[in-house]
Amino acid sequence: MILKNVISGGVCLAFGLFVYWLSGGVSSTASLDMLGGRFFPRMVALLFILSSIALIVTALMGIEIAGGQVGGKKSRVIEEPSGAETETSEAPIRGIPAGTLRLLSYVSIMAVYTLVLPLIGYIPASILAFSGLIVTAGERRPVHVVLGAIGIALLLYFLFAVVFSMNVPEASLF
Amino acid sequence: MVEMSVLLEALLNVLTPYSLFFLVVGVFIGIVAGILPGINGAIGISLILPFTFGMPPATALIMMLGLWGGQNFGGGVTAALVHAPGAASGASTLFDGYPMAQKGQAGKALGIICIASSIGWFISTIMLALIAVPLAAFALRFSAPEYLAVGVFGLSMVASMATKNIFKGAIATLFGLVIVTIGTDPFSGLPRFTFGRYELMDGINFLVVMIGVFAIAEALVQIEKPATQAKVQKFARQLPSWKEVKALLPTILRSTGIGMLVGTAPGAGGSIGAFIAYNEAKRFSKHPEEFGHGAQEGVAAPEAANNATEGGAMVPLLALGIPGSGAAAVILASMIMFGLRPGPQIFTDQPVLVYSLFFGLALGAVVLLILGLLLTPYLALVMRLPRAYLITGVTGIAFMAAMAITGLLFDVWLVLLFGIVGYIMRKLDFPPAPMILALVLGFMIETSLRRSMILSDGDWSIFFTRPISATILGLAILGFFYPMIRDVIGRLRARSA
Amino acid sequence: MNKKLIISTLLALPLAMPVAAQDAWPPEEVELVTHSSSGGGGDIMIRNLGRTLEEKFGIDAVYNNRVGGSGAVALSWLANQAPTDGSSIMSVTPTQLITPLRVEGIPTYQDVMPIARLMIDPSVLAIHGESQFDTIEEFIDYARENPNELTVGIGSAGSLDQLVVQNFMTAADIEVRIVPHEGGGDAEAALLGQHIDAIIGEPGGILSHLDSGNMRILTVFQEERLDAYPDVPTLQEVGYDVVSNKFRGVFGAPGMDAELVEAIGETLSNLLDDEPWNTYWREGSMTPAYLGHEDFVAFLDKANEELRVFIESLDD
Repeated sequence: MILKNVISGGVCLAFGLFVYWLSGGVSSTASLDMLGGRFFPRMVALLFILSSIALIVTALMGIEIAGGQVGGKKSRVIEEPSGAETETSEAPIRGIPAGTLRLLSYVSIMAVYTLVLPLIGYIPASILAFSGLIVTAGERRPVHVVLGAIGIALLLYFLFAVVFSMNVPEASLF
Repeated sequence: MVEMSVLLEALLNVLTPYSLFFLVVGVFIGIVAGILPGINGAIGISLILPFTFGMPPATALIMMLGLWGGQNFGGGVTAALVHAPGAASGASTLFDGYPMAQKGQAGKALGIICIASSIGWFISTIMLALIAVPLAAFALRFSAPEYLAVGVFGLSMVASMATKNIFKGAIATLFGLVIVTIGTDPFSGLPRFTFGRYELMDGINFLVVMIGVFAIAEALVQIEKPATQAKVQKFARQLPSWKEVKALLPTILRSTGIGMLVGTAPGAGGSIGAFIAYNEAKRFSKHPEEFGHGAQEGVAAPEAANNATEGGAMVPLLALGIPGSGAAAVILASMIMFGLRPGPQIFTDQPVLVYSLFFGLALGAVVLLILGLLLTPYLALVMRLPRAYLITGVTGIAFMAAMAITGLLFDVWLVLLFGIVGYIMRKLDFPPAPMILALVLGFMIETSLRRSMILSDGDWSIFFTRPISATILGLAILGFFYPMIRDVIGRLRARSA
Repeated sequence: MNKKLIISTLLALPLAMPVAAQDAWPPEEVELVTHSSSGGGGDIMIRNLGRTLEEKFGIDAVYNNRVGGSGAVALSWLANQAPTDGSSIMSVTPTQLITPLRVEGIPTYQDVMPIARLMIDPSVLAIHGESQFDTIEEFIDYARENPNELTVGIGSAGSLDQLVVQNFMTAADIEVRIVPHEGGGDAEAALLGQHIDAIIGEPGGILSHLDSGNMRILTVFQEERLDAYPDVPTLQEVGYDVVSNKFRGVFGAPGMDAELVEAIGETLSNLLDDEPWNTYWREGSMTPAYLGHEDFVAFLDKANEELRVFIESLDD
């Protein structure tokens, strides 16, 4: 049995049921056509549920059914580009794999960035966030980090806000 | 036939240093606009519009058309280099462009993008000049059932995208279809699945989803890897060889035809054309298993197609005055401001201007070829950036793009959310490509289905009684089942052998 | 010299000066905002308006497309962040009334400053050149004898166009199938391909087809015949009182000074003969329909109420 697939299949099944239920709230009389706004989401939700069940069943049986290979020989083996995923080469920090920590760090930084953007404006927020990302990605030398963050933030601001006059959040605290 | 004097005058219009200069400027701005996700052709053209008021109309319009073409190239560049579609039309380029660049073939990838784009652009322009009016008449025969058939045809390709697990592919596709239903119900005008948030009234912009699922997810995957494992990219700036280009010509030609046809139907744009061309290239390829891992045809096909849709979109634009896309709408508005009156009589009333546009377009393709190939070595340098800056830069661009599209912080949260979703999908082996395809096609499918029902007054057979839609649906069903049938027949033969 | 006169004059000066400053609209740089994206109807309007202001006053016009939420983003910005000194104005159409009626929490026209109504966009019923109908009466008679057979296309559902068709059906006691599309252009394409029998549209959008004869107008949903098409009867003439109120106007930020608002309205209403605004509204067969602030608000009250009833009737 493929546990990964059973669990993801289960989550998908729940999601499908949720969508089906939610579609019930869509008005069926308001629309100009006879199918209504409910038809399509419900149909999709139904197929979603069926596919999830199929996934769970095949996962329990331990098999995976591949999608049709379109034409041609299938015998060639494809070389995956560059190094194998050697996760073991890094020591976990306090029991959490280093990679996961970086992931969490990335997501937290960008979440805070989005929260703080309207408060302190694009350039200050970006410089802070980008510095955080650069450090997370492995670059430690302070000068490089700061220059890199400033450079990227200014470049992006220049291209989007100046050259193409797009609306960029201005600081509301100042 | 057109008078020689008209052709000559049109040609002279276009070949002045003044016109050429602005054409080059237009293509260049277009390339930059294409490279930056969130900035698209419509925005770029709106930007230069005020500056064009002093120019002769032909020059101004050629500059805008050049911008449009350059944008498609730029979108492919970003897709290949950093796994982010710079423009919606570049989405399918990243399937093979990115692996190519990762394998150290960045120069080749960009070179192929450039060459395929120019050829697609050039040939579609010639076709436009020759058969615009009959093609427009054909396009008019497309009604809701035909659009549904095209949509279903597009979706039938998902089976071949779900190489590992077909149910996961199905779920991914259906997930995309669910996302598409969020927004305003197009047949009642009432909100659907918006949870009371006005930011969702226009639905979720599929560029936001693409940027999240492709760019941010990739950034997450990369940042999870330890710093020491940062691949020292085998860096090669070299362009594709003449031999390689020649081998790609059949793919490019086929994709151009597909792009042209798709572009002609108002409402079907560059991204749809690119996806269909990609899949057809895979279907006709001798090495389909290479697709997704850096197949050159996989890069050439979508790029030729998306530039060809520009020529295709000009057909309804010029012949009927109907814009098929955002950029086309701005060009139409500009044409009207300049005194052009698109419509069937434009070919007889203003032939010089029209043929100036054709020559300008054709020249634009050449400009793109030269400019693109010149820029390629420098663009490819992006691969040299240390990964810390690359990841940060891509993230920065992605978030900025999300902001740029509507200026709503809500969309920025969505990009982050879809980035996480995309990452989870990759870890669990759910293919993102079918989801994106569903996003691109889903809206058209639902609206065409419901509109067909109104037009036929509830008669479901309408899809099969109309010749064009029946044909396309038939091809879709055939295409979907053919590989499986072939498989079965092959196995039966092997057994009896 | 009368001391009192001097003192009162000196006292009056500071009062006079702001008025003088406010008469000087537009400022050096004016920002024109719209909720539509590049190339859309509102976008085209502000570009024509901006260009006209530039030509006439020698100022600079800057354009801002605040897309999103079917106009909600633009309204929010206007109500909360737009400057009140007259340097920014926003183009408006019925969308600014409809969207707040559909979704909670969006600023309405009462939360901002309606400056002036400028134009009425005429709605017409157009058919294909080869259609069997020559007059609107024939169309109505056929529809009455064959209920639910004719198809009428509109640009988008839940819009003013849909309201017009529904009012038309009620007034003339006919039944047709309404076919919504994703934009006026799509509806036009459907009519050109003869997949539908008629569309509700604006003459400006189908000008070239009217000229070439590929399309014809059967009737106008206005109170008076259009100058450009004097042979086309209004629906009122045929006996059914259905009029479309598709307006174009401008809003400003809430709290703007009343005199400034009046000055802006006056300036805009005097642009009718200036280019390219002149070509814009003439070619679009729009009707100049200037209403200053107070009259505009009264009009909006009425239009909003009509739309509110309409939208509530949709959702049951």
